[in-house]
Amino acid sequence: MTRQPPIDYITRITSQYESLGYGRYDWLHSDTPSAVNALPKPLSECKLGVLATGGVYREGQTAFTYKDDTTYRAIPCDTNAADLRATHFAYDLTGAREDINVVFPIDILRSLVADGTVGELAPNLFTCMGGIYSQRRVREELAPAIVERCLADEIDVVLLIPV
Amino acid sequence: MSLIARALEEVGIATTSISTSRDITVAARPARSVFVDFPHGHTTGRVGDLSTGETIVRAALDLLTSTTADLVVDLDLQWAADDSWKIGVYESVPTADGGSTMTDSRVERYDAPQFQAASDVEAAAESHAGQDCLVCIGIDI
Repeated sequence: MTRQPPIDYITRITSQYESLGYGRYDWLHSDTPSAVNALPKPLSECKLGVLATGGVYREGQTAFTYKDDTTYRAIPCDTNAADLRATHFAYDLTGAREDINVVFPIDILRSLVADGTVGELAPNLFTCMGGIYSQRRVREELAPAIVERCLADEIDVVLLIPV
Repeated sequence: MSLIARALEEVGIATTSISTSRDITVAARPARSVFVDFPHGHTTGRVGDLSTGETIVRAALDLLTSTTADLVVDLDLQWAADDSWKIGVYESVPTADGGSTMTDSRVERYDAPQFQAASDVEAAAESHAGQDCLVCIGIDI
């Protein structure tokens, strides 16, 4: 089989929901481009924050629920990868539970700090659930909480890692 | 995810991202994204392959020097020797008997915490009872 174009998820999932009799999902279509900020200083001097949506939590934290969970978890940046867990309804967890770096590349990020590519990691990296049905709740609950936390932690740049 | 990226850029924080769903990303329009043509659940690579993961993360960080709007860069990475893994993902596949494989693959939307392991339940309870609670961060928002 030759290379195929990227999967058209919106078309496939919309069609699947229709055939199964579910309501139509309201995909996000932004009418305007995002604001775009330049880096305030070289990346090698920046404090890097992370938001990953793979449902990752640390042993000792409460797991996410599967129903419009708009909470997040703060994962200390020195957490051992073996102490991280993954839970989610929308992707195959097999790989993530064997090696968390496939959805939350904490070892990779630490190596980028060690070799000087990135200045430092934020004290806590953030995780949440993707697939939150309500865009309104993301806008009104999760997004402001993450923004406030990133500002409070004086994070210069954020890497977002959806699943 | 893109909603949060856009909200961060609104308050002056530069963002970059990694996507495994090109069409969803293009529609949502975060500031910057690298597209990795891998299955969901492998945004930053394969099990035990930190090298590919690092390539992906570095590519996303490299975009930060650009301020071009709607920046989506396709990485030349292939998940497997062929792309047959894309067959049947959120779609029906005809079967030999003339039927199709369309099934409801959705997982029940449980509204209780879904722990990976039973021991995690005890660890969370222990943490919650202690001085240095890891549980409550982000929950009481």
